[in-house]
Amino acid sequence: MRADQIRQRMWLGATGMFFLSLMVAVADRTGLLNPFRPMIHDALSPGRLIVVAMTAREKMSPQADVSSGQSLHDEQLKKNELLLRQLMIENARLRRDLKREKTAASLVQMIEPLSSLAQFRLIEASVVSTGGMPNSLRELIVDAGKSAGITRSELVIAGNGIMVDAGTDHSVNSGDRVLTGAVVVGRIDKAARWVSLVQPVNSAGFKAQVTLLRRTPDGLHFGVTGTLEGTGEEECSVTGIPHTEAVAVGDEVISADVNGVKGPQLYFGRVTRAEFLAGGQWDVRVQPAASLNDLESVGILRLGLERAIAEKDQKPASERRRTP
Amino acid sequence: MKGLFLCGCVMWVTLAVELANPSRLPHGSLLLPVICGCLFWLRSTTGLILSGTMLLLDWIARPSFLPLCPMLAPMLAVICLAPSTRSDEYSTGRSWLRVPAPLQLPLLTLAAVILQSLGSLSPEQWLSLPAQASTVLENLKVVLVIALPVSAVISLTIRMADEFGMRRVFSQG
Repeated sequence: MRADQIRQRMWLGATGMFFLSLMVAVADRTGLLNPFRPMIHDALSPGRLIVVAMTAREKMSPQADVSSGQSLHDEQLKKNELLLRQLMIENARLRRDLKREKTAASLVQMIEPLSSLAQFRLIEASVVSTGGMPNSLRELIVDAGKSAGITRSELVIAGNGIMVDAGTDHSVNSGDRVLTGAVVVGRIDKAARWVSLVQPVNSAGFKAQVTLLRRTPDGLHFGVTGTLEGTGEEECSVTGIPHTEAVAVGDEVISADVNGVKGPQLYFGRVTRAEFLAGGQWDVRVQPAASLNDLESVGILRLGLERAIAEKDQKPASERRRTP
Repeated sequence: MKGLFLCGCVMWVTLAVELANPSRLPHGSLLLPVICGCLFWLRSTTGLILSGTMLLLDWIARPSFLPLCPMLAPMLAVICLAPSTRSDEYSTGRSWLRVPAPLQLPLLTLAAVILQSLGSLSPEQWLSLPAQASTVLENLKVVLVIALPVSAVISLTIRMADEFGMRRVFSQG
C-alpha cells in the first residue's frame, strides 16, 4: 500500500514537472522569462567566479616538473634573460611612442577641446550564454555587471574589426594609415550585479546613429547620417535618410557617435538593399556584421570623464577646501 | 531535509562549474549525471521535484528550442525509481525493467543527454534530421565522453554508500 502511494506521488511530481516545463517554454516564447534569465545567471555568479579564480590561480602556479631539474632551470633562466632583453627593447619603444602620442594628443586637444573631456574605456567580458541556439531564442549574457560599473545602454563590441579588401591595386601602400573599427554586437539592456543582458543589433528596439561609408576608386567617402534600427529579424533598417541623398548596396555602415558623444568609429554592417519608395523615402536594409554564434568574449565601451578630471572629482571635500 | 539541501548545493555548484568552463565542459556533460545521481541518491518525490526544478533552471539560464529534458527526464526517473507493488524495496525497481542496478544511473544519464540534444534542435533541423544526424551524434559523443564516466563514478559511490549503510534506503517521499 505504501509503495503504491509513493509511486503515485512520484508520478504526480513528474507530471507536474512536465506541465511546469511546458508552461515555462510558453512563457519563454512570449518573452516573460527575459527578466529572470540574468537573475539566474547572477545567482550562479558567485560559484562561477570562485571556479574562474581557482582556474586562474592554477594557471599562474609554476609547474613542479620545471623546477625539478637543473638543466631545465638553466634553460628557464636563459629564456627569462631573453625575455627581459626583449621587454627592455619594447619598453624603450613604448616610451618613444608615448612621447609622440602625447604630443599628438595635445595638438588634438587644441583643435577639439570638448572631445578631451570624454574618455572611452573598454571593459572586457566573456559570453556566459550558450552558443548555437536558434536566433529567436538567442540572448546574449556577458559576465560583467554593475560590480564592474556597467550601466544600461552601453555599447557592446567584438574585437574583430572591419576587413579592408583593398590592396596595391587601390594605391594602398605599407605605412598608410588604416582605419579599423570593432564590430558592434549590441547594447547593454539590463545590468545585474555580475552579469548583463545584451540587446543584439538586430533585435527590435535597438537604435544607433550611423553614417554610411562608400568605397570608390578615389577612396573612402563619408555619406549621409541616419538611424539604424533593429527589426527583430536578421537584417536591420536605416531610417531618417533624406530623399535627396544617395544610398547604394554595398555601402558600409559605421557609427556616427557613441551615445551622442564623438568617439571611435565602430562597424555595424553592410547595406544589402536600398530601394527608393514611391512615397519619397529610402528603404535601406543592413546585414549586421556581428555574428552571435561563435562569440566568446566581447568588450563594453564605457564613457567616462578624462582621468585627470575624474581623479580631481574623487578628491575628498576637505582636501578640496584646503586648496586655494 | 539535510540530504535535499546538500543535493541542491551540489547541483548549484555543478551548474556554476559548467558555466565557468563552457569550452572544456559542454552543456550538460557534468550537470546531467550529477542531477541524475541526486535523483538516485534521494529517491523521493521531493528529490524528483528538486532535480526537475534544477533542470528547468538550467534550461532558463541556457535555453534551447524545447525543454525536453526537464519535461521527460523526471518521468524516466520515476520508471527507474518507483517502488514495485510486489516488493517495497527501492533497489529492486520494477520487475519488468530488468536492468542491473549499477547500470540504471548511466542509462538514465544517457537518456537525459539524448533528450537534451534533441531538445536543442530547431524545427528546421527536425525536418532535416537525417542530414543532421552526424552533427547530433558528434555533439552527443562530446557530452557522453564526460557524462558517462561521471555517472558511473556516482553510481559506484551510491552503491558503496548503500553497502556501508551511509544512506537511507527508504524514504517517506
